[in-house]
Amino acid sequence: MSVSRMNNFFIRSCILCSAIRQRTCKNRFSIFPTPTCFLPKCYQSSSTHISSNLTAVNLNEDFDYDAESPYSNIDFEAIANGDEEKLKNLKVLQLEIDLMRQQGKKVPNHLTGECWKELLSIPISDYRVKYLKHLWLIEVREKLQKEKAKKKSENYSEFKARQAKIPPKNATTSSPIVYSLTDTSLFHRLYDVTINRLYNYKLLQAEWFGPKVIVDCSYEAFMTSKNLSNCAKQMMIMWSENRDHCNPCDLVFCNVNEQGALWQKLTGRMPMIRDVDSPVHFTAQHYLDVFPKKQLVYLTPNCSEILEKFNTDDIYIIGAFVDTGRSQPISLAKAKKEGLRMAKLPLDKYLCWAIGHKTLTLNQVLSILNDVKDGQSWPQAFRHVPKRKLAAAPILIEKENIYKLNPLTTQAIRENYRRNFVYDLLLKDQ
Amino acid sequence: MFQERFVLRNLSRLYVSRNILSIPGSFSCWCDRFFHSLSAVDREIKKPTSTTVYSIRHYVEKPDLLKMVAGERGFVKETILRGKAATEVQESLLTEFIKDHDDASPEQWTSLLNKLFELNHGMIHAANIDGRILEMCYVAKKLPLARSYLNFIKCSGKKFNSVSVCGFIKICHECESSMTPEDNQRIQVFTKYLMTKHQVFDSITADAVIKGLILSGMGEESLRIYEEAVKTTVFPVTTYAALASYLIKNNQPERAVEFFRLMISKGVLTHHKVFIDWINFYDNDRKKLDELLAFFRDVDFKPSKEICDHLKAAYIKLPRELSLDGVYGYVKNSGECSVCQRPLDRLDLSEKEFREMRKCFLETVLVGNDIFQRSTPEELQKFITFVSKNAPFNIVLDGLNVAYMSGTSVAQEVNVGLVKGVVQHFHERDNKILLIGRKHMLGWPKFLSTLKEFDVKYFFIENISEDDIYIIYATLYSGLDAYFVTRDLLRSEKFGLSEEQRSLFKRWQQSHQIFITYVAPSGKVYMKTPISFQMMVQKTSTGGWHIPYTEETPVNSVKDEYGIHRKWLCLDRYLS
Repeated sequence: MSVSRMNNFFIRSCILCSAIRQRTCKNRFSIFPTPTCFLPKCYQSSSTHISSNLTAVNLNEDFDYDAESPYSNIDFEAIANGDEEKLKNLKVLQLEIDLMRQQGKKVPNHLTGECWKELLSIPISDYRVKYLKHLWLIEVREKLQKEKAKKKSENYSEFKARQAKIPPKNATTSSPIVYSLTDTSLFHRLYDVTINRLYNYKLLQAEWFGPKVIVDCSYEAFMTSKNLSNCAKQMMIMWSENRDHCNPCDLVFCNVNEQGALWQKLTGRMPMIRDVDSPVHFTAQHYLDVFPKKQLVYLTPNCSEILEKFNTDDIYIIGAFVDTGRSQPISLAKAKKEGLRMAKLPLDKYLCWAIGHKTLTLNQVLSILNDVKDGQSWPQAFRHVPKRKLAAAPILIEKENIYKLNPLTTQAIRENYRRNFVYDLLLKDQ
Repeated sequence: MFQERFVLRNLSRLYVSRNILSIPGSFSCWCDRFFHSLSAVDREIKKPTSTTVYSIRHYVEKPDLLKMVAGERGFVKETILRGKAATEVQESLLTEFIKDHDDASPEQWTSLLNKLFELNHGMIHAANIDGRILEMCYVAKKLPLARSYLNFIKCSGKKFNSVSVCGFIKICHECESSMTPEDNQRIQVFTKYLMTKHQVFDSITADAVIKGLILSGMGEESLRIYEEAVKTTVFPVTTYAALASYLIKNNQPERAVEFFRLMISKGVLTHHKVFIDWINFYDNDRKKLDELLAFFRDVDFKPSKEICDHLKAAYIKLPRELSLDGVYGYVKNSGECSVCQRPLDRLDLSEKEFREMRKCFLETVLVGNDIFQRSTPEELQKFITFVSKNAPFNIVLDGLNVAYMSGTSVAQEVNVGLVKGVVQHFHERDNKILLIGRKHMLGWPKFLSTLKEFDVKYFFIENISEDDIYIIYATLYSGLDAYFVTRDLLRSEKFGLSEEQRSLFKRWQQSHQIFITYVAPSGKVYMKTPISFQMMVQKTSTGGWHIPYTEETPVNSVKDEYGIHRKWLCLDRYLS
């Protein structure tokens, strides 16, 4: 197109734009203020004194005495248990959270009894703010998910209605059999129960013949409440990934305190632990009482010995410890005290770390150990380490802008695919 | 930036149809490919209807993309701002408004609120708008604007909630000079409301009630409320400042000093206005001014330049015999004041203080909670017997720190050379030297032979143990004549000690630590010798004062300072 034609085209389209805007932009989308259009009901005043004097502030009328805060119905007795000091703290807390809501801070609209108990146990107000923000985020996400689900179900009902009008394809044949994935198909259906039975049988084999890995649950006192729940989640993922693996190892939880917070959270996530015939192996005993000391190797990131090769005769110990915010080498101290051998994974040798602390979650460590035990090389096993923590190869950095912009372009999809295959570039030259 | 977003919002409100700008831009291709990538079933479900809603967070930042909206497929889209994007637009609207206006009519407020509530997915809504606006007025220190907002609330028939009331009292306290008598009345009413509505106070309401009572002249009542509420709540620093100011003006200096201590223990002292209040109130009383400076000395507080100006002015105004002249100056390396040429107080610990500090340190910090985190009990015991046999030492070297002064990736010969240079320097001056290193150093070429040549005692710890505690133990054991050489500031060692012990430890460290700055290839060693004088507010021998001051704001009293403090105010008689 020549320049003048382009200009004409633009001018016409601009006019068209504005014309459309004038036609379609009704009051709803005007940017200029309409008097009481958007203000909520509380702002609708029927008073005649528009320019009233603020000095005439009446104690009874102008103040919000009966305001219902969403935190007014608390079961004081259940939470405070008759403790007077706790009761007073609870009332102060109630006021504090109400005021935070009025200030526009990120505070949830509903708080359960458990949340109140948790809040009471936190002495520092900054940590309370963090916890409340976490609860607020959960609320917001739930709300959005509900909206999405509602929209999806509406769309689906519309779709169904449209489908019902379309006559079916094989309307001529009067066969009662319908062939489709959800009706009659030639594929054998495998139910979850069957798969679980297979996995559990493999676990049983591992218990008899396979190598053992111990999870040391004695670090409860060193973890905050948030870290405890993260640890329980990681333990659950670790256990399930182990079971899914083609050659699982026998995972034994030692030093378990069944009344403690960590185990309570874990059994909350995996209630089947409490079953008599559950395949989860745990004991309250110390691992030194159960296993021979010569075979034990403690995996801790603070020691200097590097684990070169997975020794099938050794029993490796992973500490169930989420140590964000701690600089002291607590697991190292424990291993030293008990006189055990120590080792750490060869992260520095094979990986180029970019951002983030050099810590791995429990499930990542166990997946790496399982792969190495099966004879894979360390670089292959380290695919379980999240790629965001590793330094990107220079070739990929240029393409990142495309990737960020439109994730659904074929170009981006191709790059992403290549990125996974180019994982070797992320590893260090040896 | 705000204008851009405003324009984009309008663009986004366009009902787009075909034939507008059907340039094959990336967006239309995106739409095409997205559509084709879906299966037939999904295509039916995902057919865009008139109410398809998209999050356009990234559109707001990339205006070109939005301008290339294509209408080929007959898309009819309506875009609504959600979540974070909406909140950002709302906040920018608010800040612009408050920046531009010093006073606003109810109509202006109405228009602002309309714009805000249009974005009904943002975080600012009717329940929390009051608190937000008053908070921003407080930060911008605009009392007339806050007044006009309360006026607007009353006009529109909405009721005041607790947060707006507290916010207004806070602003009045901050901008006390621009308050009118009507404001005083309002504050009385507000305070009454707060006290009737709430039986218990949290930090915000208590803060507001106390300030309100002080502003309405019922200071005693506020003190009573403070006593009650301090059991359950933690107050912000401004409350202490308010109470301290009130107590000063009512001639209760001892209780005011208590509040000063509370403010300093919080760690941030931006409200040094209280000290200026004290100086202004007691500007005829030499004894009281001296008391303030003695208090600064007790808590190791360095006042700001403003306070020093007021002090200087106050001291000069005093009657002839008691007045002091003030001149700003600096302190030389020798410890003498540049103005009056007199030396500052010495830093040394007395025998008794040293023994006390040593005992405390060895008991609490050295072992700490868990010796295994730093070393092993066997190793420590071995070291203790070694030291008791070979003490006292004059110089204790941190082998790791000295050897790795040029970095960690140098040749081992370089490391040995550095240690040799330092050891030679101290050996020439007849010192008994102890070197603490790690076991891997035993493999360095000619290392042990160098040490034996200069008659240096050595102790090597495990490679995973920490050497700080060994160095400090050896130096403390050897008494007041022992110095230690390291570049480490030992910041983490103080945390097991109590407050007074901590300051003693710091004094000991400053007077016994040698920093090595450079070791020349010829072997000459350049170092920073320990500081021998105190850097706190101090009284001179002639009855004057030497006051170190800072020009940083906010004046943070807890920040540790290493090295010589340079800026001082010298208050003395007959200086000019």
